[in-house]
Amino acid sequence: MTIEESQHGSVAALTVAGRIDTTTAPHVEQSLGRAFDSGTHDLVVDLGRVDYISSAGLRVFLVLAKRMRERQGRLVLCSLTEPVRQVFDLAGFLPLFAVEPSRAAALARLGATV
Amino acid sequence: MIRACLQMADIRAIRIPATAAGLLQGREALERFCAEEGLKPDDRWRLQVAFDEIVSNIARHAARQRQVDIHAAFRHDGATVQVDIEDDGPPFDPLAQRAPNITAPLQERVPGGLGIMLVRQLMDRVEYRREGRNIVRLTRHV
Repeated sequence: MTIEESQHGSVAALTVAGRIDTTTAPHVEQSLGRAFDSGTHDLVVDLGRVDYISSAGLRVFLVLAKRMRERQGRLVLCSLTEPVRQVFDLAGFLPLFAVEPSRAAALARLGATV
Repeated sequence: MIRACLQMADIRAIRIPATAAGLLQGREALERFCAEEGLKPDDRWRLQVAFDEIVSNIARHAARQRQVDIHAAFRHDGATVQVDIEDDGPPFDPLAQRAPNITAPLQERVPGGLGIMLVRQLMDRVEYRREGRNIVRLTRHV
């Protein structure tokens, strides 16, 4: 499990790689929490290298979505792999998130460039 | 005799503690089983998420009071994969949980219950029975 952070103008981007499960979810939650606490209003989470997510991971994204909504910020998820997309779909999560097929599309949606 | 042996389902079993370390061991055993049986990637991740959810639940609910042991058995007969997860913790039926509302708007969503709901949807059948131990059986047609 690795998480890389980058900044694109006012947009913060996090790239997660690995599995998001009971064991690794706390680590992801911490990193997302740090990005949130930095005060960003525009956040992209790139899940292109996550091939596995369980309910522990869903919980982390639900909490982040609620916090971003309260802040009136914008959260865009991108590059969902098939297992991750299916788990989001089964949990009824897809309507709760802005989802883009690529990182470039996600950044463009928030007015940033790659 | 040889024919009978060939027709027997391939079974692998592991005993693990209901802890984070036990979950890792069980997960590795299931991954090995899936690889050795040549299961499709789609079946693999479904089985892994379902196993992960059930074992995490046991660790969370049952292991608060004392050490709980889990016995997991994996079977594949060519058409179906069955995973039996037994634990010696207090009676706990994960299927009795109320299903979360997955159409509610964001502000009304709560994270609880998502794991079991996922298991039900990722597997073809999920059963629970109590026979002195909790026994959860996951079935996936492959």
